[in-house]
Parts: sequence; structure tokens; C-alpha cells
Amino acid sequence: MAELKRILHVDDEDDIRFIVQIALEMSGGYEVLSCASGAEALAQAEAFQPQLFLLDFMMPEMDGEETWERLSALNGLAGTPAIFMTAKAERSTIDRLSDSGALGVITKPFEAGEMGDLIGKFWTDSQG
Amino acid sequence: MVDYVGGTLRLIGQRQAIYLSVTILAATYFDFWIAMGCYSMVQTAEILDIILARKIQKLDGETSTARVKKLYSLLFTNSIFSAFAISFFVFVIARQEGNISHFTPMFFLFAAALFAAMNNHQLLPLLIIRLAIYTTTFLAIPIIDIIEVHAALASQHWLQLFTVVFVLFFVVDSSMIYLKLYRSNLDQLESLIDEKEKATAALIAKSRFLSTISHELRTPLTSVGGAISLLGNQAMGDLSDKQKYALGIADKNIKNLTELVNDVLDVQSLEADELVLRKDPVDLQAVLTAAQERNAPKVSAAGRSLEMSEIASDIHVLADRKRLDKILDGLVTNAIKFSNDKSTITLGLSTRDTEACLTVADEGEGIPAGQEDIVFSSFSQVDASDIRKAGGIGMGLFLAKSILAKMGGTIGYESTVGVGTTFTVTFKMLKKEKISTAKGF
Repeated sequence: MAELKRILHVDDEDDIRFIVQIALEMSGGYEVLSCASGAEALAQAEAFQPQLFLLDFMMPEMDGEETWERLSALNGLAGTPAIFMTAKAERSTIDRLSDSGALGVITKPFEAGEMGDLIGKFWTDSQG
Repeated sequence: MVDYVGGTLRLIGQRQAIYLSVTILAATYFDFWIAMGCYSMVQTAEILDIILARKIQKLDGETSTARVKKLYSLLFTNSIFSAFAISFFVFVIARQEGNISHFTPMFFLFAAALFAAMNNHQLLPLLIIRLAIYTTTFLAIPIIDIIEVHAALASQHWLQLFTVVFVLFFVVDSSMIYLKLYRSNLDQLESLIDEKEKATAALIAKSRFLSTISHELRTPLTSVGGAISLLGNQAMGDLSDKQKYALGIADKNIKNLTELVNDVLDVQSLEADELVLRKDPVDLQAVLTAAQERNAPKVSAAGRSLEMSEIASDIHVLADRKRLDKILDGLVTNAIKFSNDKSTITLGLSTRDTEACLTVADEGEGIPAGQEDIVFSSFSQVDASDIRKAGGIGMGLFLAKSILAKMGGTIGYESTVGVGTTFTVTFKMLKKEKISTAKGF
């Protein structure tokens, strides 16, 4: 089972990016690349070769689903799993994202302290 | 037009009774075959009217104007035919009577005119043409008499003509009154529909606003909560006890605020009927044990004790486990809010016939009688002054009741002021054989 190290995080909110980065680096020891938009992620993803995408669902211009789709088309990133973060917490949204093959859906507001463990759990569940 | 034909169809029985009685009278007292001939004419018009009325009702809001116009002109033509048939009937009777006072036919015609005024006023042109034909007949009968007998102005024949004119004014006046009444009813109906549309639009706007606001609040809540959590974990350096205490206050309140935003979103989802709940087999004993473990620290921190009693085992119901947990936590929180220091809060699980009952009992101040509706309504707590003491805006029980109803459960309470309150959540028990099949899903 591959150990999860590199996570590409995309969110248009500066504050959330900061908190997620600190939380993941501190509690999980992950290496996190933070991008403010889908376009920025597309430009940097190939060089970073992430094992997991952590994507905000609602973003201007390119939303989380589209970002995932286009990231998957890049060299070496086909089949890379994604976890979505959304403020739209209705069960219908969560079910739809799960059905589209996401490893998991984290609803905002989330517990920053538990973020690393939660992502680790999603990762091991998918590997096992 | 729809109102008009509605009247046509609704009053079939009345019209038939009138036609039949007039025909029987006419056939008995005047010429039988003429009466029959006129009756069949009137009936033909009647049948055509009914066929047209059915066709118009079937239009049902259809706006193809060509078809509507065609039906309208057919209706118009048939109205003329029907008015002619009735007038002819009356006229023939009057002619059979000779040059005497035409009490019977005139009253028949008066009845027909009044019936039209009462029931056919929805389409003004149709009423006007019908009344015009009746008027002509009304006037023709005495005028023909006057001409035939060269009646003097002082004679009965002239008196009859003047009486007819007087009655005609009366009929026209009645028509106008019925028409005004009908129009004002229509206006009221339109304004009612208008008001209803406005109210519905306002409700949708409110619902959208609530949904947007609660979603928009989640992002800043995440940032604030995340920052507090990072500081609290001492991931960014050690904190003094005072700093930890202050951060604890912020942490507790951000959690309350998050709960509140979630509640608002739930209320909105419920109103829009968009709340999705799971229905899984749930072991209530496990639910209750977990609830005690989860809530014990909170209860003892508040200086009360949490106990369990009469726990029935092996009881399963269909429910959304997460929601049920939240409802029990809410009931325990309420029990803390409305009870005093050193009192006991008791969780229980019992059965009653085919039902399972989860209970949360406190030894608190109790709820005054007759407050059920207020207790379970949104945005209210029994005594407004309690809000400051108890906190929250009282959506918990409203949500609990609505969500339980969606899961097929109920919630109620028994309370004695000064002694305490017991809230009971009731579910229909799952039969044993169904548990295993349901689990297989």
C-alpha cells in the first residue's frame, strides 16, 4: 500500500488554504501544494505529481469536478483520486460526488484538527 | 366563457324541469301538437348548448384563439336559436289565446328572461341578444293585439303594453345587478389569486435567502474554527492557561454558531422538502449507551448527573442514526438548561405494544400545561426570559419533531411544574425477521 505523501489542495479562499496547509503538514506530515484556482493547479500539478487531490467543490470559473476531470488528463495523473470539500452539505450533493468516484466528501465547516486523520482514513479505506 | 358554460351544465336539471312543466301546461290547456313541436325545438337548442358547453370545458385553458372564437360564435348562434325557440313557444300560446290578457305566456316569458338575467349574465353579448329577442316578443304580443282590435288608449290592451314595458325595465335592472355582483366576485377572486402568488413568492425568496446565508456562513465559520483549532492544538506554539481559557470560549461558541447555522439550513431544507434522511435498522440499546457516553462529560461539567434506567435490549427501529443521536443530544442539552444544579437526568428505553420509547427525564422546573404547540414551534421558547439563561433560539425541538416525523417517529412530553419533564421519542419497532433482511442491504 502506497503511503500518502503529496496532496494537491485547490481552494479559492486564502484563509482555508492556509488552515488546511498548516493542519495537514502539522498533524499528518503531508506535503501539500496549495493552489487558488483550477488553472493554477493545472499549471503546477505535473511537476508536483500528487497522489491525491483535495478540491473545493464550489469555485469561480472552474469548479471542483471540472478541475478533477482536467487534472486527470495530465501526464501521470490519470486515475489520481480526489476528496471534495463543500459547504453545500445536502445529502444529495454528497451522494452525487460519491457516485462520481470521489474518495470522500468533507463538509464545511470541518474540524481542522481532525483533517489529517480524516484524509488518512479515506486514503487507507480506498487502498484496502 | 368557462363560467357561462359551467352554469349551462350545472342548471340542466332546473331548465329541464321548467321546459317540461311549461310544455305540460301548454299541451293540457292549449294545442297538444303545437306544444310538442315547440318543446322539441327548445330541446334541440338545449342539446346543442350542452354539446357546446362540454367542448368549451374541454378547451381547459387552451389559447388557440381560432378555436375559441369558433366555439364562441357557435354559442352565440345557438343562444339566438334558443331564445327564438322559447319566444316562438310563448308567442304561439299567446296567439292561441286570442286578443285577451296573456297572463300565462307573459309569465312564461318573464320567467325565461329572469332566468337568463340570473344565470346567463357572464357573457354580456349573449345576455343582451337573448333579452333583445325576449323584449321583442314581449312587446309584439300586446302590440299585435292593439293593432288587431284597434284598441283605444284607455283599453286593457294598452294597459298590458305599459305593464310589459314596466316589467322589462325590471328585468334589465336585475340583469345589471347580477352582472355587477358577478364582476365584483371575479375581481375579488383575482385579487385573492394575486395575493396568494405574492405570498408564495415571498416564501420561496425567504427560503432561498436562508439557504444562501447559511451556505455563505460556512466558509468563514470554517476559517475561524480552523484557526481556533490550530491554535488550541498548540501546533503553532505553546499557550498559557489564560490563553487556553480564552481560546476555549471562542471554540465553544464557534461550535454553537456552527450548530445554529446547520439548524437553520435544516429548517430550510425541511420547508423546501429537500431534507434527505436515511432509514437504516438501528439498535436502540446501542444508541442509548452511546448517548450516555457522549453526553456524560457535558452533564457532569454542568453539575448534574446522567443515569440510565429500564434499558430494554434487542430493540431495533428504522431511523437515521446520526439524526437520532443529534436529537438525543439536544434533549440532554435541554434537560441541562432547564434543570438545577445537582439534579439527575435519566435516559430510558422501554416498549409499549409495538412501539419503542426512548426517554430523557429531568428534575427541572417543568413546562406549564397547554404549551405543547409553543414548545414544538420554530423560533420559540416557552418563556422568552429563559432564552438568556438557556441560550439558543429554540429550533431544536421543532427540528426534532419534524425530522422524527419524516423518519416515522414521534416526540412528546409529560411534565409537572416544579417536579420535572420527561421527553419521549417513539418509534414503531422492527419485527425480528425484518432486521436481518434489512441489514443485508
